[in-house]
Amino acid sequence: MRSPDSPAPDGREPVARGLRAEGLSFTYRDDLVLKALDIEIPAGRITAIIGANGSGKSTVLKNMARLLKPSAGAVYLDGQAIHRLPTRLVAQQLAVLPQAPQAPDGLKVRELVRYGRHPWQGGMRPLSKQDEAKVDEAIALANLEDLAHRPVGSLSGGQRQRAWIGLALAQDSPLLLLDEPTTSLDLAHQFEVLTLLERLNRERGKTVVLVLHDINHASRYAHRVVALHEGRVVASGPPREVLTADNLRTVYGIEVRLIEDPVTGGLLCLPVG
Amino acid sequence: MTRPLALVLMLLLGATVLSLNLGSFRITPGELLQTAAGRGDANQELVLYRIRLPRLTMAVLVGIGLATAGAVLQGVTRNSLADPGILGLTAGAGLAVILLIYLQERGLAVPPGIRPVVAFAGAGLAAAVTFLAARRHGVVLPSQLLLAGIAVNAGLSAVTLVLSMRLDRKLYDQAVTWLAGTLVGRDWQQVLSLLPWLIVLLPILWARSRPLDILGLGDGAATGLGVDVRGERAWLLLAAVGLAGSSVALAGGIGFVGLLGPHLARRLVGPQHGRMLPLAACLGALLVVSADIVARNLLRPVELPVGIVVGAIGAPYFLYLLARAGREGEI
Repeated sequence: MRSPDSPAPDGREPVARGLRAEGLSFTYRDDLVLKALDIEIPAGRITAIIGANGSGKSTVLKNMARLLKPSAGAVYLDGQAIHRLPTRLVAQQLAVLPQAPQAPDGLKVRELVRYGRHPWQGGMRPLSKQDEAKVDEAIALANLEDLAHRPVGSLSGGQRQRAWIGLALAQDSPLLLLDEPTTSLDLAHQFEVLTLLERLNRERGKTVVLVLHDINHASRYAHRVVALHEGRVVASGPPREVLTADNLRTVYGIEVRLIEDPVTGGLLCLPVG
Repeated sequence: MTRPLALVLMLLLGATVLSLNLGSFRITPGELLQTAAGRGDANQELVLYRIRLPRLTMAVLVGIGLATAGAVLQGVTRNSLADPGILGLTAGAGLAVILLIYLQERGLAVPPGIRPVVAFAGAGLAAAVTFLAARRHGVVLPSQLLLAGIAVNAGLSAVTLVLSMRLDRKLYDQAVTWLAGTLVGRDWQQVLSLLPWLIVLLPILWARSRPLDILGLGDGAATGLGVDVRGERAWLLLAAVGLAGSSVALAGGIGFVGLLGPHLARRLVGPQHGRMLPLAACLGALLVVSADIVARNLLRPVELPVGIVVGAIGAPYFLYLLARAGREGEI
């Protein structure tokens, strides 16, 4: 089986790594939530998973991040079955931000971000100078310098989400999976978080996978969109191919009109009934 | 060392001196030094070395054991109200020990030092029942743990009561006092049967303090950070059960130490276990030593079970926590 990110033509190891689901099925209390999905996450790209509530989009992400175990099929990280790899080695390759994560009372932002080094230094050793440098870098990237010594619980929604992204960045993994990172954020904070992810992809070559509710976000920020409906992939590909009136009718059961976005040149989706 | 830890250690030292001084036979600090230097009289030596010092040591060890067990249980279950008493561990260990006493009375010969092992098994079984009862679809729900623990507690306590009523009068009195938590008549041999448990388990738990921190972020985030959540949780639980069981075996059902120590520690140094665990342990020791001073001296010459004194401090604090947690919607 060919790994999706086998060495580039010039023979160098690729910087980013790919993630792939094959025949992925997942059962929850006798319900088949995911039905034999094949999904390919291209390396170095932003992939958005969209779908209605209950379509299984978060479940896909959790399976691909080995937080849930598929009932059939498998997820491959760099060609190897992710559920059979030691979880700490996976954590060096793949960071995942769950939906609405909770930090213990009183935990400070920098303390949270430092946990991101856990996959690299095991349980007992204190953080090395190099680890601390990675923590500093993550704090700078997520724009957390002014918040580093504040308790996570005292932050606003957007700041808190940035703190968790800082944790994922300290993990220093080529892959970043996020489950609805913009849910419950206001417009400005949604923009801030998505722009940060876009920058990480562009400047650091991170492979980003995110579950999104807002089709316009998917259209604007993602290179690829995977649309799910009732546990199956309806369409996947570049936003212009996936975000069609037909597909969105299938996925959300509503009529939409798609117009050119005058600002970004992408697509804007307007529900019409 | 953090400043709160230094402060608590100083308070503990003070309580230690006070504990050795006070009692129906007073030993002043000066006499204490004299006796320690080998120039005390026979009575002073007897009281100090054979009665007060082993009892004090036991109070310190039990406080450390119960507070650490509570801190770990709270971390593992992500429920700030979890502790060995509330999750049914104390009741499980209690039943196991009463059963052992009952069988001994019927002529069963047992090796010395077996009591902590039996209590560990009892605490472990109770913990297993509690966790199984709190499971829904293969996942232990932190929200269900308290309810399950209360049920297990009630059931086990009822059986323990029935069993202890079948003991003869003298053993029954002993059993009831022990169930309430007592340090009366603890000797060096008993100290020695508790010590190995702490020597083995405390370093293990301190070494696992970072995975314990990360478990506090939730199962998803912890797995994402490369923590083997199920395995780590199982080992941490087993170690906490060991600490709680062995402590209960030697000092009986002293409650609330596992709740108070960790909570105060968290308030003083934050939630990270590397700093919090040692402080919680020292606070636990301070609490039990102080409660023992009160228990021995408040109604002298009558002695109160130390567990009741700790409860008198702990119950209001627990209610305060419940009220606060209820406001924040934690339960």
